[in-house]
Amino acid sequence: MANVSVPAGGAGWGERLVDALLSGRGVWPAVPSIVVLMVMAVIPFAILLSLGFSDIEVARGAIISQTFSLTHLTTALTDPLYWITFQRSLNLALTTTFFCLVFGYPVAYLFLVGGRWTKRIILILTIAPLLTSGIVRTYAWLVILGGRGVVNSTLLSIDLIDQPLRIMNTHWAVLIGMVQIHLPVMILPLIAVMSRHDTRLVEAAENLGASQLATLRTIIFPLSVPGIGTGAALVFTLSYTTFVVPQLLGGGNYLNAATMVYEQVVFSLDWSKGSVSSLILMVTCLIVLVIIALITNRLTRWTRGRDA
Amino acid sequence: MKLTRRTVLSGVAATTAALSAPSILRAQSRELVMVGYGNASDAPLIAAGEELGRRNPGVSLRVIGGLSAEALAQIKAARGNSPYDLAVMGSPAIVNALAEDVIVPLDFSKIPNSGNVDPRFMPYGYDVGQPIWFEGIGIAYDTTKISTPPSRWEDLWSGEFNGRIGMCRPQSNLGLGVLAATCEAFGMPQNDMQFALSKWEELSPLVGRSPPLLQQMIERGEVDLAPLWHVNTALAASSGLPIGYAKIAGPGPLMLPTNIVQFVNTAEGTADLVHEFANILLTPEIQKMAGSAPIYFGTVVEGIEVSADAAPYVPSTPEELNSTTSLDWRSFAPLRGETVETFDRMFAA
Amino acid sequence: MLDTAGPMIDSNDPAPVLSIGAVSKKFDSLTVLENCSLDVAEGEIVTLLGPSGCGKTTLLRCIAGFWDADSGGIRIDGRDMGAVPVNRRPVGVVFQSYALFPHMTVVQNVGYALRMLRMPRSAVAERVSTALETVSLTGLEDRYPSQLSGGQQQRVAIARVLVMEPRVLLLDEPFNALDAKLRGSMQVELRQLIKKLGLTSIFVTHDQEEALTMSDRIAVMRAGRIEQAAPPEEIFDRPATAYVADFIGMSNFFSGEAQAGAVLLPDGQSQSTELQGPVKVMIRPHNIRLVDAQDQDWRGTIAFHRPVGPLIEYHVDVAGDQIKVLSMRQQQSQIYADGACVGLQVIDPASCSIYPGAH
Repeated sequence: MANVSVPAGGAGWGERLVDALLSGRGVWPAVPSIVVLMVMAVIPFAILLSLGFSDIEVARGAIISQTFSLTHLTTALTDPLYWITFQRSLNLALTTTFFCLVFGYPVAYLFLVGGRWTKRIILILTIAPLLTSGIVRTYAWLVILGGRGVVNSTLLSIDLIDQPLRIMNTHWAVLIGMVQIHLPVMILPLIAVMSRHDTRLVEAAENLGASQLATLRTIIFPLSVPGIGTGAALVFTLSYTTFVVPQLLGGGNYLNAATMVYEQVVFSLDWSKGSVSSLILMVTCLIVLVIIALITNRLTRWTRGRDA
Repeated sequence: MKLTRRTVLSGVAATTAALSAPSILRAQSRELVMVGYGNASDAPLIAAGEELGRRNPGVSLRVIGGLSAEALAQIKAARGNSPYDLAVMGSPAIVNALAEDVIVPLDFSKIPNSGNVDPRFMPYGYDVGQPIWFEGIGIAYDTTKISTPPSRWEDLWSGEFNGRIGMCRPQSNLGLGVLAATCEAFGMPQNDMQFALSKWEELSPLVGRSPPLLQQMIERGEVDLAPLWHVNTALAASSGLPIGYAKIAGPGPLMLPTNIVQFVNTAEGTADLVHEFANILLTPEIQKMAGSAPIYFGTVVEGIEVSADAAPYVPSTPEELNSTTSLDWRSFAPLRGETVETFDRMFAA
Repeated sequence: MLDTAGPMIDSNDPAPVLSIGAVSKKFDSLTVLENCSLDVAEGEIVTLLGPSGCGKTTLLRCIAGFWDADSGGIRIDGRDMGAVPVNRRPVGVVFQSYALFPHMTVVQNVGYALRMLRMPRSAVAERVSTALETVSLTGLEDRYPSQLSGGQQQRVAIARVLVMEPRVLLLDEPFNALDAKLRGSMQVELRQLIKKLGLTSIFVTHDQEEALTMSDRIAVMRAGRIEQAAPPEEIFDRPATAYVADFIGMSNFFSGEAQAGAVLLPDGQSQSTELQGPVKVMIRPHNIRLVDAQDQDWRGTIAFHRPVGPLIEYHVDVAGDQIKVLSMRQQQSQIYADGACVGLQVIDPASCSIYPGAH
């Protein structure tokens, strides 16, 4: 246990925070959520993290001794299984993000240029899937992609193939499922950012001699970069840390990072391993998010100094 | 309403009071909380719970569905303050739970009906749990694609089933048990998981993540056959699909007893209720209910007849009954995590 | 009354740069433009003036090509624009809120049209810096629009269209986004700039002050039609319709009866007219003089007065009607107080406008 001590005499930030809390300068309404966050997220996370750096002894279900150790981390980092698994997860998440962008952008663009009904239909089609759980949507893919599923029976009936294709329980099934399930998360921020801009900008570009394609390239696309950044960050995080879709569509021999954490915690009950894996998962995820943020920032320098 | 320190603090206090209320109620009405199956198989547990309530007014049983492994993780997460009083648990899970030290041994003298249990089952409670019924491991197969199902474990390696067979990921008791049975069939020690995995690699199997998902793979025609619990197979066949079940020998027919176990840190007086509950489960009424459609659990109490519709799934003939065996779960259950990693090194796509 | 404002160009003038011929446009069942015709000569600044919803912006958008007219045609330098897409029209638009590209610097904004023409970099740079000099924006090249003041943004918007050397410049309420203080000076500055460059321009506004400042000619629009297109003085002094008279400047309306080619004005003088029957007479407040009430048939009491710059505005209550009068302050030996009894006289009967109208 660490004791937090406030520097004597001077008003340290800790003291000022306590002061601010007690005087209630607008912080009070946020206190319940801060408490919930601390209890539900920060403290458990700290505990989990501590497990990754210690050897544990349990008795009657409780941890009785915890000694500092780096072995779990070094073992994981030198284990090729971890490298392969995290590479696969990263690869899957990045491809999912890429395809979500490729499929989502035209939809968002259609929303921008479409009429009232186009907009409504796009919104309904985008939001409706979010109202059902991801598990249900994943099961739908089981039905579609399975050996007797819609895809295979159609291909068989038109004699394109004579044996059902094995799509289920492959990397492709996981990718297809992930892209479909995370597509709305890409489309919504794109729509939000793209429709925030004045339609006159497009007219101005056309008036200045830009073709539709040039307008898309020089005006609509650069202005939608913040949306792309947000969407990509969301889709990446969700795909990188998902374990429902890979479990259901990837089959029993498809392993991604989140599934690995789940199994280490629940089945192997090896929490030090689970903790280290989730730490690696989180750190790598943060690294990618920082990269996405840096790229986005670089492409949106114009948003800075907006209030200047 | 103006949000001030006072309103926030009183709100927090009120919320805390509201949240703690259920635990107060639970203490007063003495509700037993147990980990069950989360599907139709909970019926005999619920029936026994009602009987328990009749015998002890004010007592009730809540069955929460879920994996026993997840329950163990939850107890571990609660640092021993178990949210559950008891559970149904397969023998290998008991081995894992003992390693976590979350189980309080049952006092079998307080379970009179325990004396009626076929002595072959009792060891699988590992002196802490009371066996109540069993599930068999055999081969589920698509009857339209396989005319003569394998009858011994070695038959799977005839070459005929390569690429058509499914297997279960070894984090499950089923997956782990099948690997041990493979070792046994080829004369190796049951805990030589490396050997078993390389044998299975030869079959280039399609892998199901869990028994229900493997069951679905057979239902959808993605695999023609797979080792499966008899309970899952019966469930799949009951929907009218052309799915058969072969009780495999050598070793076998294989069974895995299900046991009642009691978790640490349960409140005062709970232990008596748990024992009484286990005793009720071993009464002929509950045993018959568990052994009949649609559940078809194998019964462990001597003298309970196997019904005709259960016969395809549960050992019923004298020689089947005599040769029924299990595995030395104790020797390989602790290898679960390690085996999963080895499996992933060899099989991960 | 003029049916539509036809070409107001003398026959010996060269061909108009912009020629709007009987343009009509409907949205669903709502007619927003009805048979609008207007010719604009080389270097001329014409203002489309009217209240919101009168169709002025629609007409501007039709010229720019954002919308297609249902019927009628728009010609620039004699060439029909019907089949020319937006991005090929020799028209530059300065938008109401400027529509500067927020993600581009001043230089990038101004050079946009040239880049779309795939002009070499050096040529772009040269023309951009010339344009920026023209609008006095040098030194701000690398700023983003969000870092500029409203006036600077307006100048970027103008420079951005100037570089493409449009045949017609369209300005859609360009002063709306500016604060009132800045507007006046910017109007004069902009007019001088456009005149210096000799750009043929259409300027849309709902503000008559702006229109009077900016325009060579004002086309007053009402409900999708052009009521009158004429130079500012003519619009002010000889409004073609009662609507124009009412819309531009202050006015007093009286009902009268035209008989034998003349109308009797309220003060007893008469003014000749070709109309017959019931008419409306419009007298500008500055065309009325206040005199002593004695010997005057037309008289009333001062209800309200206030100084307006060098003038004084009186509201005179005559039998329940309020009549507005503007007097020069120095010439007035006497400032009448509220409640004073005064007589009124029309200074120049010929300056009164007479329109057909029922009682």
